Amino acid sequence: MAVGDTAAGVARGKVLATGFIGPDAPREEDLYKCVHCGLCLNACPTYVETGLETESPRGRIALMKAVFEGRAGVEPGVTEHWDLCIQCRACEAACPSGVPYGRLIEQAQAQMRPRRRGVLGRFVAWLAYAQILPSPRRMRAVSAALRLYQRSGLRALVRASRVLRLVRPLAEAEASLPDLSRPAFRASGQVYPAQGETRYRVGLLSGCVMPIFHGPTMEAAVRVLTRNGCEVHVPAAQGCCGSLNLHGGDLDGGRAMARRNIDAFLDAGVDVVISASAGCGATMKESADLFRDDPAYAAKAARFGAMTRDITEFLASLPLDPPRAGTPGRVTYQDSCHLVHAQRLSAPPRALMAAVPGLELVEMEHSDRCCGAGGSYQITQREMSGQLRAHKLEEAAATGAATIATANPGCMVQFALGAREAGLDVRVCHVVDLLDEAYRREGA
Amino acid sequence: MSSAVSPAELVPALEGRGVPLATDAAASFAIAGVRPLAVASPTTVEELGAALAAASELGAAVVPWGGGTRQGLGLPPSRYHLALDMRGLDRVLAHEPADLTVTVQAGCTVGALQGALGGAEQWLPVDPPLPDRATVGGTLAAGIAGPLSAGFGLPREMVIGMRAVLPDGTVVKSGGNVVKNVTGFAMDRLHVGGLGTLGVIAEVTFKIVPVPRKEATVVAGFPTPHAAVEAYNAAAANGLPIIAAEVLSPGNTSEVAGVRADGWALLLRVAGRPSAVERAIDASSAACREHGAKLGDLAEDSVSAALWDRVADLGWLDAPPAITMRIAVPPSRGPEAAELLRPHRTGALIALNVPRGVVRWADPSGGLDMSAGAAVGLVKGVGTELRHQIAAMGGSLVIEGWDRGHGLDPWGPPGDAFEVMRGLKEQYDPQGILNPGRYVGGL
Amino acid sequence: MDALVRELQRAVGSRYVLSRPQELLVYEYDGAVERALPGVVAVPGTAAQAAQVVAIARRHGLPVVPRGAGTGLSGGAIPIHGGVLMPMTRLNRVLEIDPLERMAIVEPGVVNIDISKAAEPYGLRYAPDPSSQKACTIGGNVAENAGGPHCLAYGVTTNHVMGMEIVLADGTLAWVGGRNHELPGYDLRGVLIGSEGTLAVTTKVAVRLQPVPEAVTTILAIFQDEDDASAAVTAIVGAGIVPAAIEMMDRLTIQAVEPAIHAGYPADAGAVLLVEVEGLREPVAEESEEVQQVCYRHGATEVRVADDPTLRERLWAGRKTALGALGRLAPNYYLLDGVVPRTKILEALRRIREISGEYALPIANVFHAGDGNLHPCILFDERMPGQTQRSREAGGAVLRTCIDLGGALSGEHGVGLEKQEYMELSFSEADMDAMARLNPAFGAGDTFNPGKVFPTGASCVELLQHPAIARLGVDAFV
Repeated sequence: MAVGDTAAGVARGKVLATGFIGPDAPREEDLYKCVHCGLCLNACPTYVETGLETESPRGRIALMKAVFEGRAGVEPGVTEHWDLCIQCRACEAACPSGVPYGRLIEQAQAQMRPRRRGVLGRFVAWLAYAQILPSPRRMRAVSAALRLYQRSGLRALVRASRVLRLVRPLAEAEASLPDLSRPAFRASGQVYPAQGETRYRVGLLSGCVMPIFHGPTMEAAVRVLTRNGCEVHVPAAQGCCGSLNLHGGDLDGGRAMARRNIDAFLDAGVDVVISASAGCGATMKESADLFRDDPAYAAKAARFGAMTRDITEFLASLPLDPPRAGTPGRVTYQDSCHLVHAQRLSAPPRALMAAVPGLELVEMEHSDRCCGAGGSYQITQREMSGQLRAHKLEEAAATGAATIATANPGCMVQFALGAREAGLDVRVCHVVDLLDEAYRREGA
Repeated sequence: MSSAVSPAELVPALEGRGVPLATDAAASFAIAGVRPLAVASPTTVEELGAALAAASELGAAVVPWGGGTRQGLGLPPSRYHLALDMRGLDRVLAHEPADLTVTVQAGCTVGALQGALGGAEQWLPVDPPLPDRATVGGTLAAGIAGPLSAGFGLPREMVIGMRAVLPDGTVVKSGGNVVKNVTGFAMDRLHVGGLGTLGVIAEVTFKIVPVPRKEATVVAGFPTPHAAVEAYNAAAANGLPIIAAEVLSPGNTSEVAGVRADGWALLLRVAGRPSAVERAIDASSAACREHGAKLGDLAEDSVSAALWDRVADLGWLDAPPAITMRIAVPPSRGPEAAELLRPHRTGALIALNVPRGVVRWADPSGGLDMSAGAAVGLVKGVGTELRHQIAAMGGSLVIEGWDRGHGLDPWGPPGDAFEVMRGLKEQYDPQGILNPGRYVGGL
Repeated sequence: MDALVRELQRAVGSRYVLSRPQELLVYEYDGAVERALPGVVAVPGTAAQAAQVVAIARRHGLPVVPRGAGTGLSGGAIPIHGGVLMPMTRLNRVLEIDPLERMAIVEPGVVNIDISKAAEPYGLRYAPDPSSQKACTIGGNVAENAGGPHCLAYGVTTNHVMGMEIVLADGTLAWVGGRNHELPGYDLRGVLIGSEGTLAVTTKVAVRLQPVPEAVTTILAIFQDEDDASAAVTAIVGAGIVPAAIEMMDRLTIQAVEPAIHAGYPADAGAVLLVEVEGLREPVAEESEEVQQVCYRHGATEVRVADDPTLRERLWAGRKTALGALGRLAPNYYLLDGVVPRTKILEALRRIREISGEYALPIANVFHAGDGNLHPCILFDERMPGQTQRSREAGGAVLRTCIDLGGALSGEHGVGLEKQEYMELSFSEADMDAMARLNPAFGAGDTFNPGKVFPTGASCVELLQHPAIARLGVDAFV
């Protein structure tokens, strides 16, 4: 005969020992909100791709419950399924019971960190999470090295030599690098005055990856904001928002970085904090939860979270000054996961594009399904990331659009790589780039 | 199984169980010249069970008999001792207008049932030929669907509950009185179309529908069945409330009072609220005209309903035809199948149920003008040539009303899962007493 | 076991055979609360592979339990006797859509709503819409003969499935039914639909499609009490209108929903009816008008009408979040699925109120009023001593009430494990014996999903221990 619900089992004290450790373990009240109804399944890109419950949100939560109940450990057979999660949080939007999946998977990832095997993996994680991401200076150094690699002819040489073929992961990582020949954007405490009357004082997140890989988009963001009455502050004290650390399970490291940004932006005295990166924005909005057990930062984090807006969200909420020139052509839009699922914003970017004269938005199928970028996922889960990317490009190409717009740096990198792989002549950009171009054409 | 059952055993066994017997009626229950030893006429489900229990004990072969209109279906029974005249079980047991359900005994004729429902402005959208003779149980068992199946699906779709009697006399129930029910297996599905070979349908609960407030029939003549079907497709694409759509072969529309159309006639029956019907008339007339049709007179309300009574009866108007065929192909191949049949006998009726791809073929003369030799030739031609052509379309061809004896299987090949069908027969009628040898694959 | 795993790996590929104990844990549950671990999980990618898995399991004397998305609410996909669990989720291709014949051939792992999405460009849809339609698969729908809110007008799964390709217990593939509407022979398709995966495994499904209606109007009516609302339901049908859906929420549900979504239901509202009519524009407008009049005549205090998708969605919002909102009233609930004749709804609700009083547990009602499919939801708190037990007893009393009123044990969730011990309320031993003989007829033996549907002989006390308790939040399913 069937066994009762495990929650009841827990209540009856059947459980000997939970396999989770530390204060950041997945919480019981979150885990048991999941009634395993399965409504999340079809929203999950890895489940759709594999058809396996182990690679579904419900399955991953079941594994967390199993660890919580002491029926399994944080061990092989469990961890690789948490690892395969892209953390797109599409499941969270689909969940009727309000399971905070994003929080749960981050906490589960955090349980895996201290137990990670392999010296190399730990070293790379340490290098990325502890040494490079927290430091804008080191980020710039890495990017300078990469730029040198690309510009010096070394890239051409390496590609021609086919040496990369020997190490496929390296080859793909290399291929996924965006073109760094464009100028970087640097946060140095600068203030850009509003055009005309100053209606809003906004802080702009520069962060880690965006300014280096997508410097021109950051500049476009500044132009679009100032054009719409914003005085834009870019505090020098800011750095990476910490979301990559958090997604990777480095909760303490992530919190340290988040504290720095909270202080930087609250000190800047702005009304609104704006992120042009959906992933960063989502993390920033959820600051209150991150610091709920930190009396010193709880209140500040809550205030910071409430001040945060995605750039498309903020612009769409304004009486936008509509561009008088157009960007004619067909565009398709990929919903960035952390915009549509984590922040539940699907209308604002579309509203902005609709404001551009001549722009024809053609929706691709499954525009709200993850492209497989997922921060470091591109590198750590090459195969799945590649499969998802290939499907995405097919769906995007089917629209016949010459431009793929999105709202997050990771997605832009992933689509650009996919387009190269597929030999597609499409342009990948941020929604804000389209708006900016339209404004800039007004003079022409 | 020994077939040595004598009247001396059977009659007392039945009488001993209190089963009412019809006297001197055996002749009217003859099949292919073979008369039963006795005719039982149960008036209750218990009596029906008793009759079957008695037969089962003796190993007597039983032929359940409703209105008898479809006894020409299938092979003659390999053994035949007892006819089970179901017409005594003819009561409407419960009609709940507000629930849109009715429970009726199997021997009630379809016509009588419609009469009982009509008072509440409701009906069962099931329209076999000769509804005043065809019983509910017989219609279901024979798997007969009329033109209304185009709009409402097969009669089985309306069944929500059933009591059936197994060959050993056990009364078993499946489903219930409610329109939505997933409790237990859908056993009724075995008996619908099962030709009484696994059990005898005793009572049926149907979901029913309100009688449409208005109906009308658009009649149009086309040069080919293809053109007629294209016009139908154009009309149907609009989501119009078309509840029946038949294409009739040339020369047959005169059979249907008030209908005149040259060539192949498309008859579209539309029903619903007046506003919907009016729009459906306009749109389907336009679709017909656009496809080169000449429109006949529009039939409305009772005229339309009476017209369809006759369409359902086509081929059966005067007497059961000597030969009819039922051909089912994927619906898109329907017109092709209709044309294939045409050369086989000019003047025969070909009626294509368009959305279902089912063709009825009948000799309207009742076969009286067909010499035995011509009939044999026709059937052999059908068996060798036509059946292959139909099978190549993914279709099936069933011959009914033919008095057999020419070595032709009226059913054709039984399909993929025949072993399961054989298994069903072994499970539910291990003695093989119900309609033995008459069904698909000789079951 | 090792030999079995190796053979399965050869059949479906090693990526798709799961045998590590941790991984089996994620296949021990479905959408309800029953649990059991499979021995091994094999996920075929083709019909031929599914047939191979069946043959391999049979050779090893192990049962095969087919599984769709695992959203079922009666334990249908729970491998209580272990063996090989066979999710059909990789068989998820729409193979063919024939707009002229209005049919599609799909693999069993295709998600219900994806059929309609694939048919949409042709102006067609697949009608049955279980509330889990965004996740549940057509194969699971076939196994359970699934329903949904809009089955009032269009019928349930069996009315829309024309045929299936199946794997029999001996590992052979066969078609039953198909695009030909009148194949001679027994309607094997018909008995397989709703047989809960106990007779064969479905590997392809031919479904009927129907035109997307030209117009849809949703009417929301607010009543002072349930009696008025129930009378309105009867009167709507009595007026010769068969809406696409008629849904109802009772007072308790409204009290939970209003603070959650601020639908604007008055504080004293006793019942809310949602009626949807669809079809051609003109009749839809007329029927909408008539439905409104009937509602007012039966004491509706307010009627709201919407015909564009966004506004209609807003009217449905309260209904769709109802169960989640009930979480505001109690931490646990036991969700039932009984059916009564439409005319007995009033009586059923009265008796459920009495049962609620008798067992001192609140019972909320959110249900498909049009076809009498009740979903009483017994609210309790498992932390309070005795409440869990009482909730089960109350559930038994509710099901008995449904049967007493001429209804059925399950309208759409199926029997599975949840209700097998209640089968005797509906069926005699002879009835069930006849049903059980389908198994040898299909040569199924213990091959497919053993231990389901039929009573196992558990006593009444054990019956009441049956843990058919859902925790909060299964909004999706009623």
